[in-house]
Amino acid sequence: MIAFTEHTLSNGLRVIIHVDKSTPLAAMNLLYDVGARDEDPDKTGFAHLFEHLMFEGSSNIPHYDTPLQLAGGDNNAFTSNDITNYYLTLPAVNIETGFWLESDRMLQLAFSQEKLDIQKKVVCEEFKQRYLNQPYGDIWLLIRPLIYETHPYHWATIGKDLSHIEHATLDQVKSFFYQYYAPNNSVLVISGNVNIEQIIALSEKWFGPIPKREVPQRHLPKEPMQTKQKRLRVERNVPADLLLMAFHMPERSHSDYYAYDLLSDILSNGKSSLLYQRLVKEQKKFSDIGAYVMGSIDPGLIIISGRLNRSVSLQDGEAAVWDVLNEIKRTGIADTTLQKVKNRYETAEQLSLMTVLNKAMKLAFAAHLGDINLVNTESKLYRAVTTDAIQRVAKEAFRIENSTVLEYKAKPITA
Amino acid sequence: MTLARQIAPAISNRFDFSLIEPVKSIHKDVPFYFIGDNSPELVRIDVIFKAGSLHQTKHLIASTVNEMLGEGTESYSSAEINAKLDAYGAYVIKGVTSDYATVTLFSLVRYFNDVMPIFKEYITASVFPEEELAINLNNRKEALLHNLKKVDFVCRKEFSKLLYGDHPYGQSASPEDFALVKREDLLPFYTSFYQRGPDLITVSGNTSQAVIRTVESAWSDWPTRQEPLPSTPALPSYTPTQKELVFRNAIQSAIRIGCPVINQHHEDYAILSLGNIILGGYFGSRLMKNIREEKGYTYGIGSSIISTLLTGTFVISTETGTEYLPMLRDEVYKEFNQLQKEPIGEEELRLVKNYIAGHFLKSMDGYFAQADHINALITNNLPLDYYSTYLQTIEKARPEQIQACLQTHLSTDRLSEYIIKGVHV
Repeated sequence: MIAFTEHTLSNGLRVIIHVDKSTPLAAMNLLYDVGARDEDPDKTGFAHLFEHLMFEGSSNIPHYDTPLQLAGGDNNAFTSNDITNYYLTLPAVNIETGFWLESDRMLQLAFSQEKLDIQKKVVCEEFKQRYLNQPYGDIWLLIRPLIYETHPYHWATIGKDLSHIEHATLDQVKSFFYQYYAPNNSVLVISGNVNIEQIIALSEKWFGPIPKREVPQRHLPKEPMQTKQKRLRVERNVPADLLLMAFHMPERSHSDYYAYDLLSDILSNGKSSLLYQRLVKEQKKFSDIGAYVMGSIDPGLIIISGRLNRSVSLQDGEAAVWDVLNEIKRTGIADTTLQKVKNRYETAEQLSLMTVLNKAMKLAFAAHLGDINLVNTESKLYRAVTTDAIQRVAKEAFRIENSTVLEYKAKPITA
Repeated sequence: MTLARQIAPAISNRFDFSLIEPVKSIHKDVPFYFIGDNSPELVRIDVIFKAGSLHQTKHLIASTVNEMLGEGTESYSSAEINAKLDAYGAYVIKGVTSDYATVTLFSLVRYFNDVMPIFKEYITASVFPEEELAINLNNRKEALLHNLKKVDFVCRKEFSKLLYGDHPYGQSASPEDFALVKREDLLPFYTSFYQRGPDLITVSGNTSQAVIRTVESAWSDWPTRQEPLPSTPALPSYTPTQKELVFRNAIQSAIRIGCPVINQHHEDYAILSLGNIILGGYFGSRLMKNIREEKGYTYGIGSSIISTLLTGTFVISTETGTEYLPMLRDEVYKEFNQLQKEPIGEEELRLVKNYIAGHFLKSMDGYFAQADHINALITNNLPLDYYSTYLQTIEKARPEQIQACLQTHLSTDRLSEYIIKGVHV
């Protein structure tokens, strides 16, 4: 159980506080409601590039990291298709340093052409390191545009290609900041060894004076219902063939999300999971296979992806996956199987409650979903999933016309 | 009144650092540590064996024995025992380093009594079925082939070989080694290094009396350890070497620079590790500031000292666009030499000291994190108060002392270098 208090400032900033006196630490998580889905299709990768610039100093503080490190703190951030999330931990006695730093960069960044140019280079190196110079690293660059034809999940967070990042201008950076980095477009969570009154006072002091900003209304195009299968075959310099199958599923806040999540666990969480037992152990078609859901704010995906063994064709591997999926659709799953994945969910959930930072992130994400108390009620929602629900969502998702298949072929070795 | 946003809030340089004292007991020469209380809903058990690759006489034996635990035991097939553990929501995580092998269990407290006997069977009664072995070797070989396409992976592998040659610390498997692993190689290793009993058991999270009783009684029939472990091979003499390997179809290069150094048992270790953190051990380090934040040559660069039983290893590592490689390399050596040429300024030193103290505090957050520390200390034969002594030494460190320590242990002429040069053809 995570106890929390909520306080909203007059500028619209929501502040959520969780007190945990068992730790000497405090964590701060600041979630901005802006992600890659909010980008212009001709200027992709921008939300993420902007995240880098947030560490390059604000109008009153030349370096973000230096004072935080001096206070014994540590920080990082990530950008997804939906959100940009900043977090830090520090000794609880120095929590005010976190307020000072985060409020100043929300108030106003120190923009400079030179800093932008350097971070463009850094992000281009990140693009190469994580997407272009890794075996199978370009999978999401290939498959997103295929799956999402109209919705902006069409592109990856890093951007469509390097040129979009290279062409970003300082004016674009400034307007992005004033559009989205606003107290009324974010959620602030503090967890750890703090007092509620102290945190409310610090929030009022440091964030209170920041003006409310005009945040653009979001009008994202809906992805139309997929009506026929999509396929892509590529050949790359990789050691083994890889098969990826993606199926549309509902958004994170949909009541069926929990059934989908447990369905993916039944398929691949643990050594007794269906895909692993059938396709890796019994049939030896794959050397590795996994299934997972994308818990995205707009309708998401359930993904199955695996590396094939040498003697097995992609076609053969795909047929074997369909056999497993069709079996679930046809006969459903045993009660004990469902009970198993619920137990495994509970263990993982308990593990995630072990640090103050994780608790702060969970609270922020739940608030973003629209109900902070989800941090406490979600385990009940998982527990309530029935075998019927699993079979129903399997039938809903695992249809040929709802699928996108990527055949990632290993290039034959040339002398 | 307007807010003085240019002025930093006052900070404290003194963070409470009080490690909870674990409860210790000894059974048949095996130390048991318990760290936790009655409230967590999870129990974690780490069972640690001196069964790292240091003790193998053939590639892949240590890792394969560890991987094959739970892939068929005296009473259960692989599918059966894994189904049983999964049914209770239990997780088993295995791992091998050059020195040790670890098997970790996470279990919900309410199922712990049922899980414990299965976990014990998992560890103590492996039978290594041929068919399971073949599947395991095939899948790991595929995973290795995948990794061998990554410039940083290949660079790490080749760099270890450059430093330690044929010694287990320098060796790692190649794809063709998998075909040479036989069941007959695994059994004697399992007997000598696992069935003789673990070297340490740590229980964390929920450590109620009931949990303690269950754990202790589970191991009561473990045979008392008698056989001493075979002696470990000594490290070869070290000669600094530079090598470069061209890697086709890659747009980035990987580089590693470093050398063997003292390990945690040496009295200079704390100061040396402080020097390393200043150079490349955190986001504000000199390497990150210069090479990422000022030049933009890389997404990330860092340096570290890894302390193992026989030695320490210092290494700087990064990946970069091949066009930046010569400039990046020059800047790395410039920063490395600068730390030895000029003592660090007081302001930067204060920052690094506070960063380290805060970082330690964070790394101690929660019982599981503290169990990690206990494991690291006990397996390296260090006392439990090691970190408080370490932090006191860091807090007292003077600029000239750090400079002298770096000059003594990390002179430039000791450095080796391995470059995997990506070329786009």
